[in-house]
Amino acid sequence: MNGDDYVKPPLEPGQLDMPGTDYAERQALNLTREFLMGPSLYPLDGSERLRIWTAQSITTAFPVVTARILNRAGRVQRLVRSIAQGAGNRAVNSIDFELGEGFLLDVTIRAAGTVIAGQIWALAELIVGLGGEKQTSVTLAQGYVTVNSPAWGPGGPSLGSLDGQGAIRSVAGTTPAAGAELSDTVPTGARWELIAIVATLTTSAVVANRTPVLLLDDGANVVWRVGSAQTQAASTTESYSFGQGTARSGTNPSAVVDILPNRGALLAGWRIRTLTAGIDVGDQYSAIRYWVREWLEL
Amino acid sequence: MAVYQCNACQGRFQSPQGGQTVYHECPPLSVPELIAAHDNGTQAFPPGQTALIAQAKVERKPKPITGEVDDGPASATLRRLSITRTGHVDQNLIDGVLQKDPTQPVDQVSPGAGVTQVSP
Repeated sequence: MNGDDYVKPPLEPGQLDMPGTDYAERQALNLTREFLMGPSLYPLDGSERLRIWTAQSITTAFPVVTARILNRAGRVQRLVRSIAQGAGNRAVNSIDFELGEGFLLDVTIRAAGTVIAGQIWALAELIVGLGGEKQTSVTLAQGYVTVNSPAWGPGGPSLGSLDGQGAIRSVAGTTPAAGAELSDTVPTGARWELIAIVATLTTSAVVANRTPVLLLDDGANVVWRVGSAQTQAASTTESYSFGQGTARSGTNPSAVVDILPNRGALLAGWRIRTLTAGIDVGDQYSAIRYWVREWLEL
Repeated sequence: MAVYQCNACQGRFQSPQGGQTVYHECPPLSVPELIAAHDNGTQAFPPGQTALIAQAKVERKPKPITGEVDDGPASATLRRLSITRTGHVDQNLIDGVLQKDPTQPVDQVSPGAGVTQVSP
């Protein structure tokens, strides 16, 4: 038998022509050794699974994974799965998908719902083994995903959770009780870059000069301290703004501007708070808002 | 957007914001709060802090004529101590439990006195 005698069976609907992958054809072509010209770098022998890791800070969207597999019969199979919406608590979860035998062609992860870049992160990898003996084989894709900006692989960019611009957030701070200091904490699983803060302090009639001092601490130790450029008298209301790249200014009696460290990153558990010299039990911080850039810290 | 009030510090916060949960943590006690907690007996302090609070109280007595209040060295020291209040709430999640069973609730650092929803 030689190659001229071999009549290739007709392809079934949907079946791809893959020269050299059919046993009879290999025999006809005198291919004495296994001839494997895989259509992808990732042959699957049935023991591999697709594992998707996700973490998200929101509850308004969820990841959707799409994978294409060329199975043993030469047909393209598509796997499309929505991953259950997480609790939005930045925790990392994983889910595995059976792939069967064949070749993994590609995998794409995108989001469905209301989401901006930096809020849902996903990682796709092949794992080998069943039960408790699973081991990571290869990383296929990772990055932040939105509705129109997927992570894909193989061949796509592989971006860690701290890469990129992060998610821009406008966060309303906690309004403390009268006489209490402003204080908010970076949530678990997040990394913040503080771009700016605004807050208003309304002082009581008790005569004393108040001097707000903004502190950034690691939960215990102060890493940044900047005091207001001016004092605030009793029975007044002043707006305080702290921002990167600004210059200290106390000339406007109703808007005090002060500085923040450029690109200063805060880890989970770090606090943004004030220490106010002369604070009275009737003083009130209000209208607190943080402009932050957030990454998921995985 | 629901508004919650902390049962420990009485601070108010909104959650969720833009689909993101806000995890409240009480601020450390300010000097007026420390003095009030000490005077009302709502919180016990170790001897060193008690002495500082007593000193801060003296420092902060209004001056006879002007009524002005001084904020002296004891107050400055107390401000730096970052003393937490009774029932301190920290709703942030405990590190190290991030990859446990997603169907199980994730533990908070300190549920403390909890929070109360005050508006839907």
